[in-house]
Amino acid sequence: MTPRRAITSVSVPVLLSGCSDVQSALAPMGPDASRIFTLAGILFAGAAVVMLIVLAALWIAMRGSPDARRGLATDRAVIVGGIAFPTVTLIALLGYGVWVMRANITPVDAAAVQIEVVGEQWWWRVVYRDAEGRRIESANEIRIPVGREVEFRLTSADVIHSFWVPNLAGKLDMFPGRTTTLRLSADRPGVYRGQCAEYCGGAHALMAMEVVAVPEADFAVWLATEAMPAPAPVGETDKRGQTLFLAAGCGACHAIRGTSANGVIGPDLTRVGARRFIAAATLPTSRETLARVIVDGQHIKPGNGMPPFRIFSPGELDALSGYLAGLK
Amino acid sequence: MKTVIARPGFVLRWFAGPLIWAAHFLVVYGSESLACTRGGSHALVVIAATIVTLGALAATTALAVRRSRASGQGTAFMDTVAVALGFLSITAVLAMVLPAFLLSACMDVA
Amino acid sequence: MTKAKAATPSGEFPHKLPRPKDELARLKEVWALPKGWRILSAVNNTVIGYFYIATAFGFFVLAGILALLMRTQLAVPDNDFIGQETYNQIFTMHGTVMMFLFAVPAVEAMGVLLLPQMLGARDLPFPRLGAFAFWAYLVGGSVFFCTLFVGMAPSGGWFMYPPLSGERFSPGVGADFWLLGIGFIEISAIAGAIEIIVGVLRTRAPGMSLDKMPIFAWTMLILAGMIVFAFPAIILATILLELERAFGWPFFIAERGGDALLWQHLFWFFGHPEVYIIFLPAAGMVSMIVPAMTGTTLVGHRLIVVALIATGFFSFGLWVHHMFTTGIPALSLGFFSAASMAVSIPSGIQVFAWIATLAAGRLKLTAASLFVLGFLFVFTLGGLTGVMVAMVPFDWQAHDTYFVVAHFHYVLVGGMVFPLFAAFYYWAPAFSRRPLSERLGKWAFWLIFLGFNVAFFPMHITGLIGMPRRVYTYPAGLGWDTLNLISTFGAFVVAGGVLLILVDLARNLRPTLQDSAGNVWKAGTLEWMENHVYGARSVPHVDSREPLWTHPTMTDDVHEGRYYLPGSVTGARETIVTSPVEGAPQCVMRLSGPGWAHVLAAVFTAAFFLLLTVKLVTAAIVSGVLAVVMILAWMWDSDPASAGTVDIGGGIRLPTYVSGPTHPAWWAMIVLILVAGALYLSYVFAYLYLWTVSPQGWPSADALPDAPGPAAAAGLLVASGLALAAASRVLSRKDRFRGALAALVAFGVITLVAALALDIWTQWRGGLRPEASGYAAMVYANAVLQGQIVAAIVVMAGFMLARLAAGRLDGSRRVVFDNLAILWWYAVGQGLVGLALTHGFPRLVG
Repeated sequence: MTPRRAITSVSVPVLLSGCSDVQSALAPMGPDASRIFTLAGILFAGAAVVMLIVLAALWIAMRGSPDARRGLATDRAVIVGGIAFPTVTLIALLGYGVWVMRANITPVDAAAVQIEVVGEQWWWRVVYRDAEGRRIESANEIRIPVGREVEFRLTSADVIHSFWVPNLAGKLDMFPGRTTTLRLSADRPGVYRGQCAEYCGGAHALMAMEVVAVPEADFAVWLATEAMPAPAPVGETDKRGQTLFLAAGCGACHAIRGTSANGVIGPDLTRVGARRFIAAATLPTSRETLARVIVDGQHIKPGNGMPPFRIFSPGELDALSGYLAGLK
Repeated sequence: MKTVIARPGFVLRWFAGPLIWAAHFLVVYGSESLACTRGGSHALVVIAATIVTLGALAATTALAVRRSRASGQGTAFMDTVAVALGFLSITAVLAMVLPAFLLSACMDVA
Repeated sequence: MTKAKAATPSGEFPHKLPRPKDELARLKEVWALPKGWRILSAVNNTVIGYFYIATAFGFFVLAGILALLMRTQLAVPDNDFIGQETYNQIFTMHGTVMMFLFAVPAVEAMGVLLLPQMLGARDLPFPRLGAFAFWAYLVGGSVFFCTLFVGMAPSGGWFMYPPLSGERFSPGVGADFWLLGIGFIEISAIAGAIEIIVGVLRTRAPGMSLDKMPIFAWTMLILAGMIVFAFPAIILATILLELERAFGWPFFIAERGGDALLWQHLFWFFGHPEVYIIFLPAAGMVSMIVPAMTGTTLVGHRLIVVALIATGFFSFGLWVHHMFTTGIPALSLGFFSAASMAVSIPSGIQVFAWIATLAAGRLKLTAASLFVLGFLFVFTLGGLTGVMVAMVPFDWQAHDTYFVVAHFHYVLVGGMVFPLFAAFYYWAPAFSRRPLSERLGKWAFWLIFLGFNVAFFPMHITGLIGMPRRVYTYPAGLGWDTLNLISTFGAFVVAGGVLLILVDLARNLRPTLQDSAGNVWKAGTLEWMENHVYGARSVPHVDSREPLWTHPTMTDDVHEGRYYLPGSVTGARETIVTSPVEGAPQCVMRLSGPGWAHVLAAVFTAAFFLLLTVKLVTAAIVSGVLAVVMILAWMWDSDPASAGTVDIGGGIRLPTYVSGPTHPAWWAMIVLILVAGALYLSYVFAYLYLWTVSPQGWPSADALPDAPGPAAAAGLLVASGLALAAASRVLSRKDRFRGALAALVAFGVITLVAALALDIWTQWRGGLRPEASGYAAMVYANAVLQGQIVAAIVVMAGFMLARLAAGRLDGSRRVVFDNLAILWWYAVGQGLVGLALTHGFPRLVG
């Protein structure tokens, strides 16, 4: 293989599709993201055409025939190329862009479910409401029904964050003292990754989340389960784990519904074992990663609010993390 | 050589276009946040402000055209610049009201 | 001896040859530079310009090294080369240093170096002010940068959004360094802007009317005008945030009636024009280089002037396009989207005008030309992605991702760094014994151009496939790995190109003010005549845009002293002051020479701000007082008495002392008033904005202080104004009433201070405390703004009285009084508006 071919064979797939699609505006999975994707396509094509026109003009200016160059070297050419052409194209584009904006912000129907999301340094508090308006709290993983418009009510507990799940929609900032509203829907079941898009200090880079879109029936079942208290520990180790959790004071910050742990500072852990990831979509959920977060969270996410708990023996740590992993 | 001491009037005369554009911008944008918090018809404000603005721009630009033909050599250049600025400002004002045809005031970006 | 016609209207040269023998020697002596290390006390625009550019370029290299550190960290996923906190400090410093310590100073520096040469002036009108601005920037900027080495640098991003940058979430001194350090450097930028505005409008060569003024001077004029209106917004924002951090006045804290978005409005009202502040002068450089390299005049000159002015205005209507994702109502977004479209038309005009000029002539493919062509490519691409992000829905995806990082690097590096390098290669022969190496320059260009595109083009994709900005690391498997590695590779290639430029500068740049390589490109503008320490020997009459093309012998004629002012007529440094529109000679202004007071003033001003940051309050106050003393010491000699009327040649006799609008100082003061007015308007906007956000925080009419309080304060302000009017009349009538004049001024100043004190006391007695709410903080912020103007008036009035006592001020030598009066009138006006706002507005809406 010649060097030249080696380069193309590497770069072409990268440019075309060499990306996984879980957090990409170029792989739209909902109507909002799709409209923006189409707009982006038109913008890219238009930009390419304009770029070619400018480069062609530049080429003619430097290497063209004397007649062509004379034609180009006039005030008229400047007025046509620099004023008339951009005015017409930009006004057309503006109209189209505003139309897309209106389409994206106009509600399709009543929202199937309303979800409050609170940005915190550096995780996402997620709150559903049951029929009676009681809070069902979770963190960093958001389930939504496929094909229905979902309304997110966004706010922040500390600094400015931004809610962004590129496969589904554009981003919207989250402010302390304000509530912003974002409506979106997913066309297909799947897992879509999102990430905080407004610099929020320290571990901003590690403030991610996942939106899991499931069929509407599954969603109802899931929400009903989610509303229930945490499952009671079965087996000796898990029971020991729960005792340790409560005795070590974890409940001062974390809540596990159905136990005396009712802290509101950190993420609700009622069903932490059922989430795909922990630490704001940074580590896959498992006994081992849970143990790491307990002992060494400051290395996983420097500056986060949880101090390292190095008070447990290896056996105790295993029991504790096992108990948490079993909360499904 | 005739000396022209630049008076504030010159700034207003040469930059009338963009200054009127700025005033229109301020009214149209500022009145939306007022309309959203205090009520009142924003559309009416936009229509009225735009009609007044376009009238003012047409008048000042026409005046600049006349001046650029009449005035002495020192200021003629700036008067023709003022003409072009007037036309650019008219374009900018027209672009500005385009979104108002498609969107109404105070829509949330839901 | 040439028989060419002179450029004057009569066709006769103003002076006959030969010139008196000692004339040139005297001119050299008057303008002589201090020797050895004392060169630091020099004020000549060429010397300060050199220092200025070197410093700005130094900060560019330093911030570039920070960029390489970031690219190294991001080369591979989950990298632990740089930790989280250090990375956050580095990206904050990279942006801050590039914007505030490189880009703005670099373009101002180019203006300081080039403008007097290009306009045919001997120097800028206020040499010590320019030098002060430079020294303040050097000292303040260096200390600010060094905070990085001790881990005390800010880490809140160059945009410093509260609440993250507030006391609660950024408790260290890093944010204070940013606020005070940058606030201070902005003041230096404003000083530079005043110098440039007055320089361009009042010190052009005779005959250089606005239509014959070089485009570069146009861009510098507009740049400076934009600084005057844009920088006050960020200065206000930094004042408010620092008041919040230091004293708990809750401007931006939502739970106490403030609002975080207020900062964003103020920041971007500065921040967007800032982009054009950087771009316009660079475009001006391109408009100078293209005609020189093609050997033909600029096509569409008039349209370019139109485009520049339009950009200057329209760029103030774009700020919300940095806030498309903040949940602002959709129609507002639409308005700003439309304005963003409108501003791209002037850029289109310029691009096509340059292309038209290339078509009209034949481009010599020099290193400078290559950088210009690279600029056209990169900047156009950046402009096109700019149109994309101006589309609101697209921006909802692209905002705060690497797409935006790519976009603004295309615009800023393309729009400013490429032209700056072109300018290096183009203008070096005018100020150096040797031109820079064409060979090294072309290598550098290709490395920078290719490296830049390799580094930044992929980022468009990286952003759209989900990578946010300002992340210190990212996980593997999201498709970002290869693209990031490519970007890092490109960044190092760019660094290689910059290194080559450094090598070239070290090998070939030999600064000189006597025997420069000269007009190697056969360009047509005045800076290509001799660039002695006094500029050119004599000041030519200008009758075209490219005088050296119209009058091929002009360089020699000027050198032999056939044009105006071939020597020093008053025995001091001097320059011809001309009318702002036609460039008609109006007076000869004497300029101040080297000194140490302005250098020390800069050092103490910097020390004041920096000591305040680290809370050494006593030392800070001492420094502040010393700074004021030094400024007064430097001003003491700056208003020399009239030396009668002098002959500059060609039968033109000019006064050496003028007052009122003919004096450049009057113009400087008016510009300063515009700055103060813009600052106050920003405040009024902030006040009204906070009211629209939380009207419930505004008191009802009966909770406000009773009307007699503010009415008495207004009365005092009016009394102060009357005293000023009376003082002005007394001064105009001979010198017999010096005692009465002094008494009137003293009385007026006391009433001005009393009005402010009474207003504060009225609010305080009514139970209002600044830390109580956003509303209360706004009320006291009004007093802070009024207080700083009043403090300036107290100092200036004292200075004026001292000059009166010393016999340096009378009915004709009155510029010091006139300047005081302008600020004073403004203070009375602002005080009355402030009373109407803080006492009247709540009653109106309550």
